Amino acid sequence: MTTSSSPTEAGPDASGLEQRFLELAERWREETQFYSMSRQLVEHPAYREILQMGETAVPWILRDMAMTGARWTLLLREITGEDPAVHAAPGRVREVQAAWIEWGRERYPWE
Amino acid sequence: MGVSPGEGHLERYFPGLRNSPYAITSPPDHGYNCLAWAVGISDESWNALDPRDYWPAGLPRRDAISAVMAALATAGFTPCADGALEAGIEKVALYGIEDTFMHAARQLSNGRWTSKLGISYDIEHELHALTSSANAGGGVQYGEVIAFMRRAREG
Repeated sequence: MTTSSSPTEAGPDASGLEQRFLELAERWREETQFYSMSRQLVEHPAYREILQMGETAVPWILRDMAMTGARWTLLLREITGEDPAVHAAPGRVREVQAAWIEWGRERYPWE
Repeated sequence: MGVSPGEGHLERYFPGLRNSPYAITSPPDHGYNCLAWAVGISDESWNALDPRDYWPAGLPRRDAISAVMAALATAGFTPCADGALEAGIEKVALYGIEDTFMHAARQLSNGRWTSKLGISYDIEHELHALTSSANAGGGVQYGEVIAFMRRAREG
């Protein structure tokens, strides 16, 4: 994991950090929407900055993925070290995302 | 075809489409990507760099053009010289920057090309309208068309 702080321990700057996440996520979705391979997605500066937010950002990432379908699963793997979609059929994006959302709903409630 | 993101939307990202006929043929869908669409698949993502995406077993997970050509070979494609329309033949064009794969398009039976643009729209277009040179250095950068492959067209 990149950091060890949890959402509930994020402190008084959490709302500012969440706002920053929302800005970065929108920028990343906008600027990577036309690329298919992962290199362009994971090397994007917004992706790298969200990665540095660590576990604090996980519920926001899960919420964004649930709402927009954005391709956050590699980032979730990188931050958490987990892979709840290991049994998903290869390439089935919605199946992989559903596994992550189910995994995260109890651990990082975001709704 | 009933799918409209607003006039000029795609041209903002692909300036090469401003002076080239194209049509949007499907709404955005994150469930598949350009390489899957090139093979004719619209419910999975082919991506060497994401371990949860599909990649043919036993092939190196790299985004080099040669690695992508090896993946397409498992779907029956073989290298060919160009994108000229041939009866009974389906062709795929690979776009890249140097040796890095960036995009794939599939030739339709009318000689035009169909592309899935990332997780965004499918469009029907001219082959070179999506290249970096057509975009005059701005917009999305797919590089240039650097390889073609072919297989027998079904049906």
